[in-house]
Amino acid sequence: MTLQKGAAPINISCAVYTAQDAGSTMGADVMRRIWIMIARYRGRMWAAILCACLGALVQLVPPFAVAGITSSLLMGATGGAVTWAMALLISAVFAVAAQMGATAISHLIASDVQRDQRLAIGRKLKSVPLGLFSSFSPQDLRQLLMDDVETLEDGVAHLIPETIAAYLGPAAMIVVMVIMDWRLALAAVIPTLLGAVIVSIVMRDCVGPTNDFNRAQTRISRTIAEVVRAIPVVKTYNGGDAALARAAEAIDGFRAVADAFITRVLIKANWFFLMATSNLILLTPLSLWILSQGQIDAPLVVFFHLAALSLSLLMAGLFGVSTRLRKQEGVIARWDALMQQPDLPQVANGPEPSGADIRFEEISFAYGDTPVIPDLTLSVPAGSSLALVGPSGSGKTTLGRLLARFWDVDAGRITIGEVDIRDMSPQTHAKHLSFVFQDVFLFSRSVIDNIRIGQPEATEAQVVAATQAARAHDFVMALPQGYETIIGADFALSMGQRQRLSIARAILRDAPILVLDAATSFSDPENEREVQKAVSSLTRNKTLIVIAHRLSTIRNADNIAFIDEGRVLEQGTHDELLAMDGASAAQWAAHQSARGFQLSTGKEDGDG
Amino acid sequence: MADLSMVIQALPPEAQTRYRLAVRCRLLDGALFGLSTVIAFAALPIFATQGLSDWTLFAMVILLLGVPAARFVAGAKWLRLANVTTLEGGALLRRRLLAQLIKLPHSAYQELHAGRIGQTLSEDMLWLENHTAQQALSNRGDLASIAVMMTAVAVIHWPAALGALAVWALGFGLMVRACIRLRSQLRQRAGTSAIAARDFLEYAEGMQVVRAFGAKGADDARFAKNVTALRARFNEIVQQSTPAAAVALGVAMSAVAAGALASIFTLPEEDGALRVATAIGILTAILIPARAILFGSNINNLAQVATEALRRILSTNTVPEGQEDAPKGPAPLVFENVSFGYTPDHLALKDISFRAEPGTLTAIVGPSGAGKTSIANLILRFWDASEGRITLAERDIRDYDLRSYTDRIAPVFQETILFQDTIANNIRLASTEVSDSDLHAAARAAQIHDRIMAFPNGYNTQVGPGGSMLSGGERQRITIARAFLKKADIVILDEATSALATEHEREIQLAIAALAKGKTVFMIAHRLSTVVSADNILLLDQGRLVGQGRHDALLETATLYRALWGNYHAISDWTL
Repeated sequence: MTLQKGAAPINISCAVYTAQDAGSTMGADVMRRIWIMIARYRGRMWAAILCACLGALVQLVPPFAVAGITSSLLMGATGGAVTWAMALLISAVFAVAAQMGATAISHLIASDVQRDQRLAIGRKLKSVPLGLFSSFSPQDLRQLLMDDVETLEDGVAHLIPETIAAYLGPAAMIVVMVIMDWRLALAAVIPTLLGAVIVSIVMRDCVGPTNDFNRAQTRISRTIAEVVRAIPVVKTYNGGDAALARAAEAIDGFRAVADAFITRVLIKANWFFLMATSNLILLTPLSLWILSQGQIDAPLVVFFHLAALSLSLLMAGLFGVSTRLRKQEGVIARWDALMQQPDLPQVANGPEPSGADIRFEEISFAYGDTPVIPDLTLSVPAGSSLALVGPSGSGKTTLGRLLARFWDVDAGRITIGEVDIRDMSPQTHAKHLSFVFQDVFLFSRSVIDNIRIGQPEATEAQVVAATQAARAHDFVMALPQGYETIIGADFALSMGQRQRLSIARAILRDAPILVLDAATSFSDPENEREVQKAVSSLTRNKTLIVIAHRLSTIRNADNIAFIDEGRVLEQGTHDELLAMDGASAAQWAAHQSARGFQLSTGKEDGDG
Repeated sequence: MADLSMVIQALPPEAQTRYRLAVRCRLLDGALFGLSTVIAFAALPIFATQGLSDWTLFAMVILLLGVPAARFVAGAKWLRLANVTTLEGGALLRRRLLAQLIKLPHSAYQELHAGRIGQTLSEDMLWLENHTAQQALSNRGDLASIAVMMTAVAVIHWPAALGALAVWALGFGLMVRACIRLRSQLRQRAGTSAIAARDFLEYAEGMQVVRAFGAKGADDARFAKNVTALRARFNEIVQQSTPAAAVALGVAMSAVAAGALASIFTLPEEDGALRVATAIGILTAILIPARAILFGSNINNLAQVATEALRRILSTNTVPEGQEDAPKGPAPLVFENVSFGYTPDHLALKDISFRAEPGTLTAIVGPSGAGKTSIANLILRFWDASEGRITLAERDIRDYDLRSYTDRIAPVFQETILFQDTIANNIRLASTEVSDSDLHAAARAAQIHDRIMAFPNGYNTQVGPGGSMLSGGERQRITIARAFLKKADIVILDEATSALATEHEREIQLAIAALAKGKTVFMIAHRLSTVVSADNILLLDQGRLVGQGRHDALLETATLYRALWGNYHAISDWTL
């Protein structure tokens, strides 16, 4: 079974689903990654953490203050009470200042980290193998650059300082409580501990349902994403019933798992929730009893009540953090999907090729786990033309892209003028090679800038000459500002016009080797004539590799290679191949009969 | 009761009632938490005056046993109810959203980029559900705690409550201002973000070209500029806006201090001290649930954003449709003076009129940009005509129920969309009435049955994401098989399909010919040789119908047609 080139091993937007499927970890792993990301700003981060912790510690003041007020009032010292109340007010000011300080500092870190990451992504896009761009959709990349980096703001700015403070507060409180009276401290803490113990015993068999639940959530997200992508086409079949049915299936499947999760896991969490917010249950009776023994006084009881209550804030802290961690998880998975791609090894300076002849020497190449080219040898003498034909998925397009170093071969080598393309500098390589592929990307700039891409020093005269040869000069001059017209969303160029601009680019570069993916598909017939003329002028005096789709167009090539499943089955001139009466001849015959195709609804045949 | 989450609103009334019950249980839980706190604090003055009396013991028993028991029961109730109803509501809401998406006109759908919609329906929904099942309830529970405690404070020593509420009222204005300022800053940043987003997209799209042409540095300046601009805007916000949470915390703590001061200055004589201290204690305890609410404000924001995204989808206008079912069986399709434009200022079609009798082949030819695809889009109701009307069986197609109408049409386009599923499921597309024999018949007619049987798992072979395990020609024939199954009366064909020149060109042609038999066929033709025997050829040029008729007649009367025909021959004979 032939495998399509489109089989992409990476898909950024689904990266998190893949990661979650693999059962990747949350929590500490995410924190660790964020900590690494802010490496340059550790100093500032510590400052932010410090502020957050100060803010948390300031929360220790209210229990003391109220205890102090109680004690003063009992002694009738109104002035003392007022002092304590003022202390409460001042602590409010400190709390706000500390909180704002922490937020401001960590936000400033966040903005610098965002900048660093965007620049890093920009750099990465320049060094990954070009072939990767067929797996990443530009929208995914844009999302990474814009939204995901932005989401990291929460992880960087808030998560670390706030989480630390959220745990420091109660921890400090416990320490103080123990110092004041260990018996009461114990009474206050025991419910929380008890809850944790109960839950850990009871939840031991909950790992299964929890994982099932998470995986089901992933599956439902992935199915729905797939369905949504398919809606434009599916709309016209069954009016979308198909889409709804698939989604309904996924949703129902999820429900079953979720019910189990709720019953077996969530309800049990009830225990922990209850215990963790019941810190007064033991404390109040015990404190009253000890009070009745005269070992402590009322202010201390008040202190402990307030202190114990603050422990219940642990709950709120815990739930909030885990949700936000999950969001960061998605972002980090997508980040990794791009940033962990191996770079294409490139040299700064290398030898110059001694000519324009091309050789593929025993190359093999696999795309992910899929072998595309097991073992292939082919040579193209300088100035000659090679046409690659064969079934789709056979690897002929891949050959062109390997020559362009979209990827590196796994074994063997590709040489231009006796020099391995991997040994050349990227500039040398680019200088010797031009491509005209099916999809033409034009920047939202002027026509002349688009044609000059890569050759900023080309003069206007040279550009015009190239454009004329590409049969595009006339339509360019007909544009509102001629060559200075900005190509953009305001008006669209037809396929044929875009292709001719792309050919103009290639003509201007005048590289000795041209790789042409000649997949014009008749969609722009009156322009196609012009495109064909343009291609004719482009291909003069070049070493040419054509990936042919319409067999009639390459009849006159110097050498035609029939590629199937990554191997050269036959090669020779058109007549030689026909004489061989093999696969090429068969394809030619099919092509010829297809050319004679006429469509009708069969009405005249009387069997409609 | 305040606004219910969209997730709950999607539920039928009985289910909504169950959620409300969950909310009430959570409120009860919060009130009990507040009550237990009050009892704990109030025990002190009672104990002081009456010692370890019956009252105190009674209070202890309640505290120790009654409250936790009641909270446990309430807790089990709201946990289950809230999560189950949220799940149900989430499922219903997702289905509603999908149904809405399907009904959206093509134009609206393309604006909401597919990846973003997918994320809205998955991630955003998750945050919303999370919020609905947990945060929304704990917010309310905490408010209940605060209410109970504040009431107790007012009862025990009302100046304390008064002082706190006064400061809180004063501070409320501050808090609201801080929130509003933040929101306006965020909106400003949206402007910079929109420009950056557009530029980033182009950067990503163009990177391949830039590198292939050795023009690595070309876009760097613009990229860096956007990155810097985003950073600058972000910093401005940090500097100018006051973190709302900090303000809220400050206000809360100051309110407590004010309440304390108020109490101290209004101290009653004789034994007032402990009572006042208790009031102040409970007042301070209010800070606990107050801070719990602040903790959850981030999740509240996420839920808010999610709700807005979902609302945007649900409020987009759907395609207007009627109630009537479209007729099955052959019927004429007529364009009556149809004009249409994708944008208001430029018409893609101008005053087009033609009639397609049932069972005929109508070819649509013309230079590119002439409007050929527009005609197909209008027939499919991906878009609607701005002027004139299109009729099927003499009725305006807008009067038909949309689904029944599109059921009558089978499009075959270049773009093939397959699901990550078996071949069989991709062909039958959830149509339950399709038997295996129907399935095989469709595949045979589409010239792909033998190929499928040659796979190890036959019809149960997985096709991979987007059908990646199949070749282009195979995917094409699967789409054609779908069209066969649909048993539609009208076929719309983009001839470029077969012109892909795959190795299965011949098979695809046979499949299309079989599909076209006896149906009303519209074909956007490129290879003019294929439409020589068409019943009617529509010759379009720049949106106008400049000629229609059979091939021979057009050759004689229409210069453009002659030119296209001549051009076609030149193109087909060209070699490199």
